Amino acid sequence: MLNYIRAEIYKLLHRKYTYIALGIFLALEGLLIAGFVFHNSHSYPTYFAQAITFIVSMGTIGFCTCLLTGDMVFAGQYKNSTLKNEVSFGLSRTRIYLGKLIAQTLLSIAYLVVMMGFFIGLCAILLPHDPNVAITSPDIVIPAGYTGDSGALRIVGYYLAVGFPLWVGGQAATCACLFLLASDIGASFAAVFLTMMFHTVVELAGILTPGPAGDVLIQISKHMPASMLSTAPSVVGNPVFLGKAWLVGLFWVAAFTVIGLYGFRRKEIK
Amino acid sequence: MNDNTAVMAAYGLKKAYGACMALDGVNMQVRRGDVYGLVGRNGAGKTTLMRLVTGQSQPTGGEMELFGASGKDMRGQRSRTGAMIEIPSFSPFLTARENLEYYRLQRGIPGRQAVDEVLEQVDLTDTGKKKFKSFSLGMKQRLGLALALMNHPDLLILDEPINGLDPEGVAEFRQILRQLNRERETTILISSHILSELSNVATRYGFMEQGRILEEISAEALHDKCRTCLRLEVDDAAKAAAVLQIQLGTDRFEVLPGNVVQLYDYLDDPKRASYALAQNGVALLAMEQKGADLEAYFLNLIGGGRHA
Repeated sequence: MLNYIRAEIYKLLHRKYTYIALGIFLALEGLLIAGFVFHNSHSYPTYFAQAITFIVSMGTIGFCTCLLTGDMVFAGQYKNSTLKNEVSFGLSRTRIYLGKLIAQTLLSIAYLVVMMGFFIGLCAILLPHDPNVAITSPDIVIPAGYTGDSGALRIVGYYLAVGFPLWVGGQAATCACLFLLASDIGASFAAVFLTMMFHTVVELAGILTPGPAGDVLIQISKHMPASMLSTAPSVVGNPVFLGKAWLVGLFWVAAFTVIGLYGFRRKEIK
Repeated sequence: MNDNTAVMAAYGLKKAYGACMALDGVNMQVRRGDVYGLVGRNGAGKTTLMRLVTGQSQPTGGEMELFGASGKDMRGQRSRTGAMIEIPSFSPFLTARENLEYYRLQRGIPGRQAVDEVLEQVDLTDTGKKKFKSFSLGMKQRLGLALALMNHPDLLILDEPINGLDPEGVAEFRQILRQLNRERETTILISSHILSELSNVATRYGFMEQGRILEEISAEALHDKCRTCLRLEVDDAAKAAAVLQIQLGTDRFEVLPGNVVQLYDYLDDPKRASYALAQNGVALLAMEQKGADLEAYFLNLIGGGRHA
């Protein structure tokens, strides 16, 4: 397995795609920070504490990153017919599947660390600090006592702690789509639907279904990654919700890995 | 070098795609040291057979063995094989060296020199930063062969490996195969539409048609069957044999049923043979020069008419 992951990392480090995509993300973050700086020179200042809470509004980007890193690691194996090179050497399909899932997750973590580090670091350098500044955001229910830099970092930390398992769950769903669907475009659409839209469909089905079944569907929709991620800013600091997020994330990882592996092990390699 | 140990064997192997039987009970044995030429026209099942051996597809019936292992145990033996099935496929955005290094790491083959060695072996050392997507078909074939060779396989499985190679490349390829077979005792299972080329390397043949192996035959036996001769149809074969021996001083002939004599001598002077027979009262009812190459033999075997 280690050999497989090493090889995937080697491939990623030798692709321009890896660097270009990261560069685009960082450039967009840079633009946002430049906007804050420009705003500061013309109007009331935006403090570091206020700026970094923008991260909470960008949770969906995490699911987009899942799709992107999944595509980078999978690298069009069906389109390029390269899976035959791995299978014909006797590598087990379980190793191939899990190797790619782990490589995707490692790449996502690397992206997360770099993007968060860049955003928070640059904000810390370029924006003013005030330990008593009030954090205001229409998306976040700010708990009492959460002020200044430390309060903002606690909010962001909680959000990332909730988001991480949910994003990994999204990663597992994306990986299953890439392995099960031969078309890259089809797999991308399926992954977007599962990670970002499925909860809305389930919720709608719940609203339209009368009785307890409808209530169950609505509860299920509330416990899907995208739904939980949008709820997280309103429950900052809640440990029970954090625990639920990890359980849901782990359930998604387990469920989609089992489904993906089951399908891939029976798939004809063309 | 050849012995009777089966490196790869199939027993009643079947593969169906819906209602279509791609393989319909294949029985075959590739023995250690063989260069086994798989001959068959498009759709005969050659590639399907190779895909089953390499684990890309699962059979729907029958059994297979690879180095004596069957069923799920076969997978472990696949690391002893090198394969190039259909068009070689690699990551289009990596160079030849990067692609091979990726697979070297993945397969746990020690030493970076393994990549340099195979690149040199297939003459792809000077491709520099050129990406795979910019390779010609010939270069892709060479890289596919390099990957197949990188782990020093005991069994090499090659499907149409010389497609796209220039004449020089074909000669080099032939040389590589001979060298591997001779020096490393690598067993080779190879299919090709270019039967004349196949006949330059194969030591055994399997003729496939409609998902079945029609015949397995050694190169020597095939050579004997394909020998050029004069086919003489006479009224008295025994008398003709005596004339050939006494008058023409040759014993290079065979007497076949139906008063047919196959003469392997006097191919460049058939008139002398016919004259001697006539002089001695043997009626020559028909005479034709007969012989076949691999292609003619194959076409005759499957009933002729269509191309291999």
